[in-house]
Amino acid sequence: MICLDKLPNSQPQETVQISLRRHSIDLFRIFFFTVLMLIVPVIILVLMRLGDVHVLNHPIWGPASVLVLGGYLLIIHALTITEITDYWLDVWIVTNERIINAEQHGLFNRLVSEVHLEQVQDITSETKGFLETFLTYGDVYVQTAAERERFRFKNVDNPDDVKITISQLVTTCKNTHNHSPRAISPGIGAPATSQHHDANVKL
Amino acid sequence: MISFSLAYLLIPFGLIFLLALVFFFFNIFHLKRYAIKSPATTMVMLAYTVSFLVIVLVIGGYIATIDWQKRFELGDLVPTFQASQRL
Repeated sequence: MICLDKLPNSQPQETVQISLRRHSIDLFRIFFFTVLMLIVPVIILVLMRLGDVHVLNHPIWGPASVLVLGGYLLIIHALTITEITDYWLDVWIVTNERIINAEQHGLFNRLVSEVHLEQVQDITSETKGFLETFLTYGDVYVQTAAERERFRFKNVDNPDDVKITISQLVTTCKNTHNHSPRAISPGIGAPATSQHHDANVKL
Repeated sequence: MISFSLAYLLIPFGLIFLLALVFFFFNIFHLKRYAIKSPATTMVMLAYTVSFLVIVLVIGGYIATIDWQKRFELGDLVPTFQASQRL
């Protein structure tokens, strides 16, 4: 497991400022579709009963139905836990030195990338749609100086606050490194971001 | 008429069960390997395990009540599910 106190390749004075996941609405969507899929066989059984069709009592189709239902439940379970794992492993960690982007796509595709805060050029937050506006979640884009795709924090809570916090961390980091490139002050980033930090931390 | 054992029905189910088992272990492995260490992650792993065990035990309970040695003929597959067929 990844320990937030000991991030890989961390520097001595590096501290985690924000740890973000996708908004819990994504988790709700997963559970909603799971419940929908669970309801389907119940509806079929009820309709059969209403139509005076008693498949479960049939000497062959009865056992076959039990196995089909069992297999269906196992498949739903496998799909649901895979979706939850996908959700759980999408994490964006912002420290006072860098941004770490870890994204899971299915079970066999994982992307982990990081960018130093000094390289950040532009930060954009985007909230579009009724649900995103109502529940205050959206995307945050971090554009770096390097010729590469910009970072995208997908469906994070309070994207505007996240943007402000990262902007402040970037400013603090750039000032610190411009004045004393080697020495990093112990409290770097903390005073300027403490309010936003409290509001955004999601471990 | 050729007759078949009811146990043949267990083969496709067994394959699905194996697939679900592989998915279960892969998901636990991914959480163990890549997730952020926190009590919530432990709870998620526990939830995966408990839900999987509950499903397996419930299905296993039903399967155990069925006589899989029973044989059937193709003619028995004709769906006659009306009330008169109730056991």
